[in-house]
Formats: sequence, structure tokens, C-alpha cells
Amino acid sequence: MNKILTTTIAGAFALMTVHAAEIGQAAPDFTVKNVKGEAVSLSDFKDKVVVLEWVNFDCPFVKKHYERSGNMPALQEKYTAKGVVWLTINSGAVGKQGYHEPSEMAEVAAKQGNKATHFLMDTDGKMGKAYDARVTPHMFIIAKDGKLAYNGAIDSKASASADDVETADKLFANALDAVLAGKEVANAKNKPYGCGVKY
Amino acid sequence: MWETSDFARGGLIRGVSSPTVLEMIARLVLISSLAAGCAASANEPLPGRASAEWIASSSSVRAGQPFHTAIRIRHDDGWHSYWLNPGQAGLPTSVEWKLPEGWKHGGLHFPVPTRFVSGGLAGFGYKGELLLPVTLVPPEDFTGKARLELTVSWLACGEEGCVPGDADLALEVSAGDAAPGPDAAAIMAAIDRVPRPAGESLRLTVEEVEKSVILRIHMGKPAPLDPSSSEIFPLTPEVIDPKAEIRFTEIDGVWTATVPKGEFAPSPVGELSLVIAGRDGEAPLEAAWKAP
Repeated sequence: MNKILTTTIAGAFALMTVHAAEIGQAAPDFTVKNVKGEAVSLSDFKDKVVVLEWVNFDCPFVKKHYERSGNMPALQEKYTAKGVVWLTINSGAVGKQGYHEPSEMAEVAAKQGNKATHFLMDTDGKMGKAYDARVTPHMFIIAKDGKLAYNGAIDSKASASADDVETADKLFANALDAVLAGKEVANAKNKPYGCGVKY
Repeated sequence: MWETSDFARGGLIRGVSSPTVLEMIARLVLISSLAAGCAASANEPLPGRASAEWIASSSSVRAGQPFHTAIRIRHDDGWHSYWLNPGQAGLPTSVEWKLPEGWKHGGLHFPVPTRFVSGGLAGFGYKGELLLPVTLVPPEDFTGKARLELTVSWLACGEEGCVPGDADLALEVSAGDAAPGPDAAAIMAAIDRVPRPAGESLRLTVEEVEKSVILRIHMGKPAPLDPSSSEIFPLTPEVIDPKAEIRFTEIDGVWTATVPKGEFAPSPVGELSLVIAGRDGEAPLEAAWKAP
């Protein structure tokens, strides 16, 4: 009982971070369960570069980067191999488009080729709202010092067409390369495109 | 692309400058994924949650003369498609043209949209039945028959989610007297709802002040409309916050509105176009400003 109380209080404090962080400010901490039921917190990953990727596998813009191009899984594989912690998050409420209960979500994600470090079930939407995650896909990068380094689109072509993946400006990937190289991120905040997150 | 303001009375519209044709998605996959867990219903949702047809003002055309047509989109209840400025999310409807040699088009025209909030995101677009005017011009020496084709692509969103849709449409026409057919009146009414350039009748200026822009309309005489009683829409994406209502009040003979900038407004703001819807009987106008 005490454990539940502590977790609830911790959750309430997390909720008090109403304003999403600006670029260059500390990224909001969170504690969310992954699809295996394990609690995952940002503070688990001190001194690591962390990527947050909001997802809804029924959204045509997400399908563009998963089943129709393999783009997102390829990025996940490439950058986790470089020591990046990649968190895929679904903030959909129960019953909304793209929601699956955890074990089914794990299966769906595996079928889609998802290779994230963790797949987080942010079903109450607290983490999504703390970051102001608006659409799927919506990408964030947190640098090793815990500061937000990128908030924006996966790439520059706001379409649902897989043909555009190759020719688009790779806004997110370029930003991640810059963060890993310790360089300044160009275009750190831009408009993400996708379907609205189903809070 | 050929542009003219003579023909479609909608005037110059910044049609679709970068037509991105949405892929044909396996429609059965969409229908089945949406129906998962629900009892099968007699009314299957339409692919793309809307139907599209190409209607014409006449079955015959005069060589070299403007020919008014429209793409009629009927949205499923609860679903909408998007305007040229879609708002915080969404994609405008676009067309891929497949016209025979010598035929010209004036772009896809959009009537005054409505505002909506879907999933907490503010957008501009349409629901129910929508007519998007398309004016074509046959070649000067056109005789006989022609088959005109195009593919229209849209993004339909509702509370449930978003679904892309597209349709391959065709019109068969023959050279003749262009006598108005049954759809002519509806098409002309749709053309009336396409904003036309305000031209000399008013002048828009835009001043940036930190996180806002001050919009000023200097009205010509006689005033073409009253902006305080008209709905105003930002045509240029991003500059103005899509959630913001644009309300003009008269200050010293100048209509003035202060609105928040959009989150992704360019810095500095280089250009802005507004659509002034007008009330019943007033023609909707498009007012454009460019930074000096």
C-alpha cells in the first residue's frame, strides 16, 4: 500500500511540470511503465543521449515511417547501436485509435520492426502532456546533460507518402548526429507532422 | 501552371504548389483495422472516409473557352478534410492532373473553410459536402470528344484518427454549345465561395510586435465589406496561431486586429494572406501583404 502511495505522490509531482521544456532547458523527468510492466524513468539514463518517439501504429504518417519504408526501425537500430537510449511512447487513452493493452502492443510493435530500448505505455497521457507531444510521429532528443536538444518532426516532408522519406531533409537524424558529435543542433525546434495524439 | 483571374471568379488562388500524391493505401487493411473489435455494420466506412466525384457545368465545351467543373467530396459524418492552410496538423487536398494535350487548368480552388478542433488541434477545412472548383480551358481548335482525368488526394481526420484517401476521376466531354447542365448552378455557387483577390478595394499591412502581429486593413471607398462582422482566416500557414480568433475593430478609421503568432512562424514574417469570409451576399476576399 505504501509503495502505491509513494508512486502516486511521485506521479503528482511529475504532473506539476505543466510547461513543456524549451530547447536548452532540463527535459521533464517521467516514470512510465513499459510494455513489460517495468517502470522506466528519465533519471535511469543519466549521461546518455535519449530519444523520445511518439507513436500510433494506425496513423498513416507513422505507417509511412514503419511498414511502408522501414525508416523508423532503421534509425532505432542505427542509433541504439551507438549507445542512444530510444524510447517509443504511446500516449493514447484506452480504446482510442492505436491503443493496445501492453502485451498486445508489444506484439504489434515487434511486428512493425520496432527496435526501441523500451516501449512505454503512457496511457494516462501524463508524459505526453509534460512534453506537449502533439502528433505521431513527434520526436524529441535529450542530450547527455539532461537538456532538451530537439523537439520536432522526423523529417521535412509533411506527407503520408513513403516516396518522400528518401528525398526529405532528415531533420531528426541530422539533429541526433549533431548531439552525438557535441555540435550545435540546427533547426532544433520545428513543426512535427502527423495525427493528433489520442489523449 | 496557367493562372488567370478572368475565368473562375474565384480569382487567383495559390492552388497546390507542391502536389504530394498520397499513396493508395490498401483500403481493405484500413477498413478491417478500423472495424476490428466492432460489430460488422451494413454501412462500411468509405475508403478515405469520403467519396469523390468530378462534376461539370455542362457535358459540352466550347473550344478555347473556360469550362467550369468541380470535385465534389462527400465526407463521412464526423470526418473532415483540410484547407490550403490546414492549421496545426493535417494536409490540404491536392490534385494530380492527367489532361490531354492542349488542355489547360487553373489549379484546384478552395472555398472559404470552417474552423474545427480535432483531438485538441485547431484546423481549417471542410465537412459534409464540399465542392472544389476546377476551371479548364480546352484547346482553341478542340473538336470531337475528350477524356479528362485526374487523381484527387485528401487526408480525412476525425476523433478516431486520420485516414488518407484518393480517387481517380474522369470526365468525358464533347465540343458543343456548353449549355448548362444540372450541376451548373451548384458549381457557380461554389465558385462564389472561393475568395478573390481584394485588389484595390482594401489594403492589408502587418506589423510584428514580439509574439504577436498587428493586422491593419485600410478600407477603400466604398468599403467592400465589414471585417468586424466577418470570419477571418489566415491563408498563409504558420504565421498566425490557428487557435486564435481574428477580431477586427475600427480604430481611427483603420480596421485593426492583434493576434498571436503561430508557434512556428518564420522570423521575420515575410508575407501573410488573409481570407475575409464576408457575410451572406458579400463576396469573400483574399488580402495579401508582403514585407517591404
